[in-house]
Amino acid sequence: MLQPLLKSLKSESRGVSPLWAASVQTQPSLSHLGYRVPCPGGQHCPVFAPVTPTPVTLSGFPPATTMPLSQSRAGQSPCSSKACRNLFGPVDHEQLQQDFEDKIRQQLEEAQQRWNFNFETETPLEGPFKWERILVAEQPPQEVHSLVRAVISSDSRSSLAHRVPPKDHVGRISPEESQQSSKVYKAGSLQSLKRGQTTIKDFYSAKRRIVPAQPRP
Amino acid sequence: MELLCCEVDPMRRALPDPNLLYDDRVLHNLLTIEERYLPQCSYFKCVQKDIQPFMRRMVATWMLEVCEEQKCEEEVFPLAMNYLDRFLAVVPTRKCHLQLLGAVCMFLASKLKETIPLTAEKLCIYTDNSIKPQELLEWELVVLGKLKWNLAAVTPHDFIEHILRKVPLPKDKLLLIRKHAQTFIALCATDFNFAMYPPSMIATGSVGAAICGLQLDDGDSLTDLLAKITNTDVDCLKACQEQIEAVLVNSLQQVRQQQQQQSNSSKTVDELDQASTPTDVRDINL
Repeated sequence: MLQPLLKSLKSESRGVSPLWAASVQTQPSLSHLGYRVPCPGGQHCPVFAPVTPTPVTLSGFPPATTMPLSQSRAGQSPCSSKACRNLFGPVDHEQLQQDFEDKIRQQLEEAQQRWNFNFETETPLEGPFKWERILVAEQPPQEVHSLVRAVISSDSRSSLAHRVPPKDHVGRISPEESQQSSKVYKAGSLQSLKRGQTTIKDFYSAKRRIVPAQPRP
Repeated sequence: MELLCCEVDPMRRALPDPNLLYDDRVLHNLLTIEERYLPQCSYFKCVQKDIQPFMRRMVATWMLEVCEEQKCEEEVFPLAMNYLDRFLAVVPTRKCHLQLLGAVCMFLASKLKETIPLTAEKLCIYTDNSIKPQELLEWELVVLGKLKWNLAAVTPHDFIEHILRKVPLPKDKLLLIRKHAQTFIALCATDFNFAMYPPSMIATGSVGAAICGLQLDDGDSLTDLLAKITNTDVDCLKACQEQIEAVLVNSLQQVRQQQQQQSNSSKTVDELDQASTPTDVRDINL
């Protein structure tokens, strides 16, 4: 049961589909810990996508082709135009794919070093950040609630904890989903822990992590 | 019975915001942060092995044509070139992947600046389907990572209104000056010599060249005034403006050559209109 679900999730690779929300409710075991880190640089937050990256568009919405508005864009249809041309000869698609995988892996490794956190196995590593796993028991009892906190040991950067990572997307979760959904992931200072109600972003980041996960035993 | 066409321009624009345009703090902040978005090095010397300056010009010309044909906002093209230069300054890239990179940069810039952005599919068609939408989306992630998600770069366009409102100019010429300045900015973006210049200098030089080109200037006092507005060194500004004018002359010559070639081989007039230089350039009287 789990395998086909994962498969169907993977095929829904564009943006957030309602399926994802459902998967959290029906398959709570699927969701594993979502770690969020405060963002010291303020500009580069490690919301890590997956080894096989989801082709999320910048806006987080389905590609604009599906939007009726895009039909009305001014300009002629490109195929007949002179601008429609291949500049540098045939593209080596295999090489391109390989380069892409190298680059993504490299980015993942850089992030791992920077945050001393293994984003693939979701485990903290040795380094300047202290990662803590936090359990909260205020939600329905049969479910586990995990909160994760990253604390920078030496300085006062914790005020940055409330910064919103740029890759977060808002507005794809209906109210009842956010109420029923059981998982709560947070990062940041104690202040953010006190805030009982989670934000949409917290749910979203939790769900994003479900898709890339390999099938679990 | 008469047929009425109720279609209007779908692009609805906000009015110019006086809080943004008539406040010198905005100009000051732009000048402070613009350097952050310059490419880290002159990459043909130190980073790229496969890519040469003429290839950048090829891809830039293509990008400009696509932006013009798709009627993109003016800023999209210079912004996309900024992404391209910043990426190439850090990542050695293969020649055969350069057009993909150009498409990705337009894709990102268009999404940042436009109400109705270019679609991945459309951009792929413009590469003559040599790349797939899936590849475009994948490389979008790579480019975003390398740019550290810093997409809101300062472009020369950000300075135009700030400069124009401080120069005494006849009101009826303002539209024309702005249009010419925008054309110069696009021209600069196609030329690698300008890639390392701060956007404020390109903007100031472009406005200067536009005013001189329309013979609305009154000698040296204009350059001094312009230099003061954006805190640019007067000599640098003069050099920049001369360089812009030289690039213009060059590209006008190219257009003329193309026209001659085309008329020699008796091509149709239609094709003339798609010459690979900004079309507006030809309207400028030197």
